[in-house]
Amino acid sequence: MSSVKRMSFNRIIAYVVGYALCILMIAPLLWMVISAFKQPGSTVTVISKLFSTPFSLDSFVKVLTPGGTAMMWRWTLNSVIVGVVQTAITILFSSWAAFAVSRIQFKGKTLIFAFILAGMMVPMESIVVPLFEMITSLGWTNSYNALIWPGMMLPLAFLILKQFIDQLPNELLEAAKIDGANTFTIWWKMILPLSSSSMASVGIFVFIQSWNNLLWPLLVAQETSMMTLPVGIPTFQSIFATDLAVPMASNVLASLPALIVFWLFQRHIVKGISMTGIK
Amino acid sequence: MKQIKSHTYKNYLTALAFLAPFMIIYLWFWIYPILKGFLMSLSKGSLGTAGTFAGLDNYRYLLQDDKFWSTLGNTLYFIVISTPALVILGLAMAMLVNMKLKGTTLLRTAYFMPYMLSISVVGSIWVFILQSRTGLIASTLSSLGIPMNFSFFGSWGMGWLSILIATVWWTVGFNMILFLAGLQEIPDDLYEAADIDGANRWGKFRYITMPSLRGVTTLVIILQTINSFKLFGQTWLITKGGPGTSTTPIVHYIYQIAFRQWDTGYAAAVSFVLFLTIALISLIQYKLLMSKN
Amino acid sequence: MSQVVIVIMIFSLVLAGCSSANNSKPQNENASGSGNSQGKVIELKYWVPFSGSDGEYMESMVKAFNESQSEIKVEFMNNNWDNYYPKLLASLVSNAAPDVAVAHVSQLANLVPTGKLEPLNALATDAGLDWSTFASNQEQSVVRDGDHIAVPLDTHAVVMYYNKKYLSEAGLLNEDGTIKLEPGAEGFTNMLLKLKETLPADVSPLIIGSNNIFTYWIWYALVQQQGGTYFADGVPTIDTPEGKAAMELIKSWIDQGLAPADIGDNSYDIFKTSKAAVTFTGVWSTGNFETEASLEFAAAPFPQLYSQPAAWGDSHTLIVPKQDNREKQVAAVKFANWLADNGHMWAKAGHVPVKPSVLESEEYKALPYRADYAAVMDIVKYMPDSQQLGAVNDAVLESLVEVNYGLKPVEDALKEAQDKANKLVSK
Repeated sequence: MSSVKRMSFNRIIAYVVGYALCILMIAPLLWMVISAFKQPGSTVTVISKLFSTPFSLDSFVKVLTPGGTAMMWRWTLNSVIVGVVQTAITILFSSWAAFAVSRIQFKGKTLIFAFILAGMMVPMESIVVPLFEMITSLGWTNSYNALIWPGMMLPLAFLILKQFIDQLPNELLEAAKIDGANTFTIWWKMILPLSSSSMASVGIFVFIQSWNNLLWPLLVAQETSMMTLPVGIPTFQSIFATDLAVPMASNVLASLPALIVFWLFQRHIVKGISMTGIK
Repeated sequence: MKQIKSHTYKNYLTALAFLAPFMIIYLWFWIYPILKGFLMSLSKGSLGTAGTFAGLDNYRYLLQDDKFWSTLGNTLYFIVISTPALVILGLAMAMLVNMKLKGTTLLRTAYFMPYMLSISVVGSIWVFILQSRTGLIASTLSSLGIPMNFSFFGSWGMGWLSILIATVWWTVGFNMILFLAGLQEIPDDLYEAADIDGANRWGKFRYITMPSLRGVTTLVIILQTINSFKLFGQTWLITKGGPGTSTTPIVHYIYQIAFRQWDTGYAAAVSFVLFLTIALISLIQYKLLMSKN
Repeated sequence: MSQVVIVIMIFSLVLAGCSSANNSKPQNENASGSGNSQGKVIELKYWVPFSGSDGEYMESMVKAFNESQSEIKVEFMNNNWDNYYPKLLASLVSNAAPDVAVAHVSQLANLVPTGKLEPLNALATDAGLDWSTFASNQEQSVVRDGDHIAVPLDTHAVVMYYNKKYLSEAGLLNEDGTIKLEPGAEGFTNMLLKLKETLPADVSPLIIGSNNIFTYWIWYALVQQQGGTYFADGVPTIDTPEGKAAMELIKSWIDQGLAPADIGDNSYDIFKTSKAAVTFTGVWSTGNFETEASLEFAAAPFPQLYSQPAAWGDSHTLIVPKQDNREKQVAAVKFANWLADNGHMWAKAGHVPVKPSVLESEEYKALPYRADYAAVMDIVKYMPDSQQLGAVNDAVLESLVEVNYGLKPVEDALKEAQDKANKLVSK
């Protein structure tokens, strides 16, 4: 008997649709990458010519050469600094707060919880104007402070971590208390290691949000040297240039860190997002 | 007695210690701006210059500001057109991935990868694809001798179509993941039992999958709606809010009021209204979600 | 694993702490005059909002200035164009402004009310700046209350570029390379019609940005050419017969297939790749067009289609914020004067130098095309001084674009624009 499995009609449709969608989703990215490896000024908008014009690294060189108004290295550094610091602070502070609300008995706990939860309804977009005034009066415009402190997704991280800590078995914590551990040691020696995986997942999610922020850095990073990547990239699309290769090269470079993080931590990212679903 | 008191006292201190860092930032950079924003909305001022108290003038202006209503309408329009697309496509992708076809990891990766990109990259790619005459689609078609007679940015409807395309491409992966998690929660025995009962694919979908996903679906719709309210990057980068104001959503308008008209008082007022709107919708939908459970 | 996490977090907190410390310093340095009066180098902070090649040219000019003498050292600080003016405004108000900054003439109305712009006549004397060396149209544009409040740097206007090959094929090119043009709006339209007959199907006679600010600039120029006004006594005058005529003309070009609708910032590309014969765009495009070897083009002042010559334009100027250190202010004026004197360098970016002496110079004349722009300087009709100018311009543009796309007839659009402008001004 032949062991060829006859696929159901439905499954065939699934393959067709699935891969068609796959192609649709990937095609723009592929185009971006191919265009990036062309000489500045090449025609990349005619698909038939896409492979006939010479490939080159010139566009990347142009993008990466410091000087003038392009500062890819600096922008990347800024994005990294802001991303890492924001993520670390968010996760650390949220973990402490989550631990407190989850495991410490104190009056007014429910109120605090509701208060923090309510914060999830506040979109950054609706407070940029007062924030901008605040930052200006603090003299922080155009500084790392302005980029870092506002906009951290504290309530969300708090919520996810709290739900995780809630689920930890009580016995472990009771045992630690009996052993005479003070609260901080409990957090340090028990909560932290146990929740490290969730913290990583949420952390990566928060990092991505921070990395991709546009509106706020656009407003506060006024000097070219303080821009983050999303703010700096559009400057390559000078309306004076017919050039697509150069903007595409900058797009590729800007996407590299995020894509690398994606490849390495796919599992964690997926988990992190799924966790936002456990509301 | 003494011990309990000191124990409670100690708990307060400890709780305070753990909560303080979080609260300082939260209060300073999230809660205080809302209050400050409200105060700003009660004055007429420009950046840097002190505002003069103006009571509810900004709100009165808002009520008869055509552009406010049209941009609010734009935002609502976008929510209406994008939510079904993003939900249905997200679900479809999740189901496809869940079927564990050959190469399913590739599929999942492909569907999700755009979400990792920065909005600036997304905007850049889609502008160059959709631009009339010089865009990828236009150039390729014309080189094949097929003139493209419509333009993606050329009218109210088309402008929104281009925003929709870019947004769906960019964010559908996120919804897919949520649905995927939901799908994977559904116990297999439910499906097996249905098989035994002779149910067909559609029946299984309708009576098992859909009800089980109700919670996730509601969540996705809530998150999607809130995100759509915050629309800014795509319109700012791709259509520049045009033609005219047809693709200007409300956040984009706030940006224009504050940084092109320099009217911080009015910008704060519109921001506050936006905040109330989102808060209201979040609340309503949250209640819906809770009641369904 | 968690140990590593903790270390990273602590490291980040330290980093955050350090950056807070580092960043509170620079803001204060500008506020008070740090004395530098002993023949030491005077350091100036210079803000500009230039992206792309403009920024590069200015940076090289600053470098040249620094190398040309040893008393003054200018620090070039480029800024994001989008919120440059809010930033500049905020810095003026909070006494944290730079020592010298670029400002468009059209934006001076927003900066003057801060009271922080130093009037320059007295400083100019000390710095050796002679106002009569500047072109009079430009020099007048920076006078407020009898004193100069900025040093003009350049003029940049919207001019006409045309593709010589296409024009000559249509028999529209004179021997000296100028266009055979009948006078008036009709003459211009007829020229476009003639082009349409001979051009290939995928080439447009005219290309203009129908979905960006160019529509506004062109409309503005056409209104001025009819002797119309934009603001009269502080009140916007948009819905006027001149306004209607101007917009109807633009729309007629689109309707007759002489200019495509739905063109945004890619109008440059389209002309550059010879997919259009004529375009109206800024003088700053010259550098860009020159890089396309296959393009044979020429530039001419914005054509006079009505009773007066006029073109839209603006000027970059340099302002000197008030501060205690007068020495720095004098140095700033010297620097500004140097920039104006060396306008041939700035002209590489396409802007028109502001001193007639530079226009006469060999270096300037050696630059191709630039000589044609000089005539433009005198016909530029600067926009009115109004704090609401930007907002009104945006509102008017929005309505005009709707006409381009056939979403509104001209009368309704202008009426709507007038209403919006009135509301904005009276807010």
